Amino acid sequence: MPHFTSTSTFPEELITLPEGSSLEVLAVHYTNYVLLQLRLNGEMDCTVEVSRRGLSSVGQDSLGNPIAGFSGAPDLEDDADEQDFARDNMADYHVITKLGDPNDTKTPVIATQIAELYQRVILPNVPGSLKQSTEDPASTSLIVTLSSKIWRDDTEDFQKLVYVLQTIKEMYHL
Amino acid sequence: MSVRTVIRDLKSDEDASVSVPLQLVATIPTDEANTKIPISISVSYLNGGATGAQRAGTAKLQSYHYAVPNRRASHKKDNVADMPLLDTNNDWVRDLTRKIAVSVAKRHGKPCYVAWASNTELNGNGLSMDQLFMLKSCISAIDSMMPSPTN
Repeated sequence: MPHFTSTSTFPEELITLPEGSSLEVLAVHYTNYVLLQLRLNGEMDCTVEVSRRGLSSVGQDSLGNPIAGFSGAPDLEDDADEQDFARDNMADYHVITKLGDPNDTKTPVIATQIAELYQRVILPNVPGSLKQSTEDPASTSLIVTLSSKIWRDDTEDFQKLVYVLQTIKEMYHL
Repeated sequence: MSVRTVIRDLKSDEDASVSVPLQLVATIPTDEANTKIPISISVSYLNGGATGAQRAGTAKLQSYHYAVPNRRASHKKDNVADMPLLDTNNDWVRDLTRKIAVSVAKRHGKPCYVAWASNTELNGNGLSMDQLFMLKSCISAIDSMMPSPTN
């Protein structure tokens, strides 16, 4: 199975995590799913499934880039009251919590961001895993098992998210 | 490093030069005593997987199961709790995935995630191996990968 691993240490600037905390990542690519595991010091305890939903292909090419004519910029000739399409990329994903705290509203947001990274950057560029697949990359869903302790504290959420996304991207040498 | 990831192609019992079409990608803790670090196993059944090219082929994820030892003394009888994270209509696959997860969790006293994938529709018929053999092979593969206890 095509699989990718990465082990790294969270930056020292993230003081809400124990010093020297490690982030271990494993991604296994199947034809219908990407299975992703994010461990904090080896631990993980929460699983979510992220799938694409809705008419997200309207106004976009196969990679999700906006097609001319659907962008938000209005033409000068347009009527003032003509509606423009507003893209809400967060609405393209449906997150189901398989095992985790149902009151946690943060983890689904993080899962959506990871799914966007896969959709835009990783799946179009990863060698091998898609060639054998007959599935459209836009329909590959993600199952993420992660540690709820990473984002438990509220003060450095964005920095942690950026670090995790960068680490995943580097794991694929992208 | 808290964990390490190992890839193992399973071999037949009788003839170690014969490989069976099961491939494991397992992530295991480096510290045997830590009961919080889960073991995760991705099992792929690659039919027709005799050649290297076929082994590199991709399979479809059919089942993902979770098992965790129950730490409360009052539940000694049900000492492992388990739950499917990705369920399937295929009873045979779900059953085997569940058994692997529960057995590994019980044996090693840690949570266990098992993902089962194959490149064919499996229903237990026409397979070259039976469920018990696959279960035994996975369990002994994990046993051999786990670090020995440091007392």
